[in-house]
Parts: sequence; structure tokens; C-alpha cells
Amino acid sequence: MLNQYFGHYLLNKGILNNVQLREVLDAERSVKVKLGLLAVNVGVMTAAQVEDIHNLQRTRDQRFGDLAVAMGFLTSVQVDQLLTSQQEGHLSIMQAITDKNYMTLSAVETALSDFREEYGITTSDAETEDETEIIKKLVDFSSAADKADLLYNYVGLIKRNAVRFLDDPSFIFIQNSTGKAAQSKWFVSQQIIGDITLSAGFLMEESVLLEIAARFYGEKLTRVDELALDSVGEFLNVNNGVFCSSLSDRGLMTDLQPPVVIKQDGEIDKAVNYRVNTATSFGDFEIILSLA
Amino acid sequence: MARIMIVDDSMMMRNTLRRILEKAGHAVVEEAVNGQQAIDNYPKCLPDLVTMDITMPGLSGIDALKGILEYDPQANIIAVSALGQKHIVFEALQNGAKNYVLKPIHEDKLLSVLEMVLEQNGFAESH
Repeated sequence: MLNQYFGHYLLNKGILNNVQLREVLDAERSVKVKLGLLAVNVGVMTAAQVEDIHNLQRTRDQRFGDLAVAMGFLTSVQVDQLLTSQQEGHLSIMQAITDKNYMTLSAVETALSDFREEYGITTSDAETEDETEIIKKLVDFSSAADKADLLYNYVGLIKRNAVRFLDDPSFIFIQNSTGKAAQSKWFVSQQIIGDITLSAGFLMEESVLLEIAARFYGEKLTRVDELALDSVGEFLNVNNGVFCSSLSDRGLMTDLQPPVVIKQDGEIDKAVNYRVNTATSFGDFEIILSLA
Repeated sequence: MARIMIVDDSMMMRNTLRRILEKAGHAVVEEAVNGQQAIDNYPKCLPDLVTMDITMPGLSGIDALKGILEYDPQANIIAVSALGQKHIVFEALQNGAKNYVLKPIHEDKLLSVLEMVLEQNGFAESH
């Protein structure tokens, strides 16, 4: 996953353009084999067991390997072995970039060094690929004080749920956006109330809304109608529901208000605390977070 | 085959539930888009089972559940929630829901819960 952030760093620096970045991420994706498939392939899990865990992941924000061990399907040793074989088969973004002749190997190495230095990513960060630690280096929620960790977790959850529900692994964060909202974007939001009060939502253009709606609903959608708006609202609702569950694990009791979807002309409420640009293979959108 | 009323403010959810239920051979006899509509329509269709979204604008799913049970104490209602929190599920069960399912809806889980509720509450296939 560090590769994804490095890829977007190259985009921000103008070293790669959007088309090139998506091509190398697709190339990376086409080679990486999911842990569940690997487990079935080597005969340590059945397809039904893999499916059970995938279904569980949609309501519990936990890694495949952790759930497999918890449910007794795999041992920790087996998980480590599978992870090792997954990594060995992984076509890194660096290799994809050089294979496509977008950069020389020397240029990639230099850019990677600059990226790690600029974001303070150490070798151990890169090796462990602790997602939360990487997100902390790319997105700044420090002003949220004791609630900062919740926001980092929220952003990480969006990324994981994009993979689970939208089948889009090319999910990248860039720095907090401070720019003005473009005209006529769709804003889907939901209030989380209780021990914490958080407004969480997405700001996106129509084409991105339609794609999210279609992927979540599971059918092609060609126009922004009640079905499309409800589908995007439900994606946010499901995401926030899992987030609220994780809050209750921390002893924080919260409730969800129904999601709201509106057409937003001009800037959104200036009280918005945080805006995080996120990039997918089908377009970009902003995560909008406001703490009370 | 059971006669089912779906209650959810989201068209996407109503469509998804309808698709699953009809594929399994059940009949969706009514859809309500909010809690009040659910209470008003229940006596007209008297379904074998109701799926009730908990979080809706206006009258909440919990209040709608109470309203239906006030009319029909034997009503079979399954709470549907995006929240996996124990207190929300507990509140629904405490107020008379027979069981619950979490969003995102998993087809096998929904049908399993539905069949369990119907079987436990005397629903016969010839009904």
C-alpha cells in the first residue's frame, strides 16, 4: 500500500500524469493475488471459508489474516507464509513504472528517497506497511487533539471499504485539500451523534457519484436519480455503521442520523474542519469531516 | 412462500431486499418508505413478516416497530441496521423485534434469519 502513496506523490510532483499513474496501479493490481485466493490455492482453506471471512470483513473492519486465525481456519504461521508468498508475487509500482518506461530505475530510486524524506517515512514504516502510520504522514489531523486517532481510523476505513464494496484498490490519499469546492458537486453526508459528534461525508462530481452508486448497488446506473442517490447514501451509511461499531468497542456510544445527499453549488459550510482528497480509478472525491 | 413488507427509506435497499426475497420465492406485498407509512399499511396487507430499517427520517424504525406491535402483538419484525452496536440491536429486540440483520445485507444471512423467525413463529409453507 506504500506503493499507492508513492504513486500519488509522483502525480503531485508532475512526474507522472493521471493516465500513467492509473496504468501502473492497474498493472500492480493485476498481479497481486488476494490472500484468500492464495490460501485456497495451497489448500489450507476452502472457498466457503474464504467467502465467510470476506462477508465478515464487510461488517468488521479487520484484516483477512486476523479473522482467519480468530476463526480457526489458519494458524499465525500459515498467515505469515501466505503473506510472504503474496509479497514475492507482487509487482511493485516501481517495477511497473520502469517496465512502461515512464521513468528510469535511477529516477525512481531518487524519487522514492525524496518521498520518504518529505513524508518522514522510515524504512521500518515501509517494511511493516502499517496503514495508519502511513496515513498519519500524509494527512494532518493533529488539530483534532484527542480525536485525531478516530479521524485517521475513519480515513483508513474509507480506503478499506472502497476495496470491499467498490472493488477499487487504487485508492490513494493526498494532502488535506484547502481549495474551494468546484461548482455543482454532490455532497453526501451523515451525522454521527452521541459520545462524539462527527459529520462525515463525501463531496464528488456526478460521474464519480454514479460510479460509486453503481458499484455499491451492483448494477449499472446511468443517471442521478433517487436510486443512485440512495445507493451512495447507503455506501456512506454502511461505512459509518462500521465506524460506529468500532467506536463502541472503545466504549463510545453513538447513533447515526439518516444520510443526506444534496447538490452543492459553490463552497460548502466554512465550519468544515477537514477535507481529504481521495483518488480512485474512476475519479477523485473529497472526504469531508467536521467535529463538534 | 412468505408475504413480506419491506420498510426502508432507501430505494436502493428496498430494491436489494426485494431482489433477494423474490429470488428466494417470497412475495413482497408492500413497501413502506418511512415508519408512519409502515404503521398505516400494515393492517391493509397483514404480511407474514416485516423487515424494518432502524434509521429513517421522521418516525424511527423502533417507533414504527412499536406501532405495528401495538396493532398486532404477534407481528414478525426483523430489524435491519447499519449499526453493529449492541445497544441498538438490543433496543430493537427489547421492543419486540424477533431478530435482526446488519447492513450490508448478505443474502444467505437475511434468508437464514427470515426462515428462522418464520419457523419459530408458526409459519407453515402452505400459508
